[in-house]
Amino acid sequence: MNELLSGMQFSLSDGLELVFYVALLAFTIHSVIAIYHWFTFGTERSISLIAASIYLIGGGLLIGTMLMLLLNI
Amino acid sequence: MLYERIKLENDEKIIKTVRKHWWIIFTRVSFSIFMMLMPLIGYTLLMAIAPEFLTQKITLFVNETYSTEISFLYCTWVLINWMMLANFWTDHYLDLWTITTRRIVSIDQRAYFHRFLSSFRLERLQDMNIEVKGLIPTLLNFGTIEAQTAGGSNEEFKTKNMPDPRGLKALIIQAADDRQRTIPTSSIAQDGTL
Repeated sequence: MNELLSGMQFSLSDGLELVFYVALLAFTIHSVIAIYHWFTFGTERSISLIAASIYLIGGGLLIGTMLMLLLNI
Repeated sequence: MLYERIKLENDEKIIKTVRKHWWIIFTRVSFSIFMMLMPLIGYTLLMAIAPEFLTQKITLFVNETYSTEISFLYCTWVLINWMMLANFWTDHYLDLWTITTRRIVSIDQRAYFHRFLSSFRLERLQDMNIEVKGLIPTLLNFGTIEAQTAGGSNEEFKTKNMPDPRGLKALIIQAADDRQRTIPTSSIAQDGTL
């Protein structure tokens, strides 16, 4: 039993890796939903395009930074 | 896009599209940025105000031992606030009034996949009220605008934080007057309704 439990223990890096995947999934789903709304119900395609670009670039940079940090842990 | 979905009638033209005042999105964006920076501000303030609270052990813990992990968690925090910022932008961008030569379309984006769209024809406009309340709304000229319509239901169109409510009221009343002039008088009943 102890061997089984010790095999299931999470280290800090495992926990952070889980946080990364959850954040990546949440950001991806949120991006799809938000950008769908901007392009479907927005009034100007150019504004929607600029907003989507800024959002994806900003989020991508954060996800990329998180990945780099995760690889260094 | 939106205008394709509204399906404008023949000869119907959009006079103006109005979103909430820039002050509202400005305060929300400022709040998000503040929340993003809050951990840094908090740590800096703590170091400045009560350095004795941060013992050498804690400082070592934050700055060296777990600096990568803490940076990772900080990035996660910023990402959460980045998504919140996108929600504020969505609310600002998709909440609007569209005034056309025939009607007013009010769209209230309450959440993702939750939109409240209402419209009334200009000839049904009965009364318009505006309310500018508070120091900042008075200085920046924004407030609540409410349109009451005639008809079977007591529909009221009320939106807060609209820019230049007096100008908007004047524009809508002018558009309603223009619309009344173009309607053939034979189509108006004796009581004034259509």
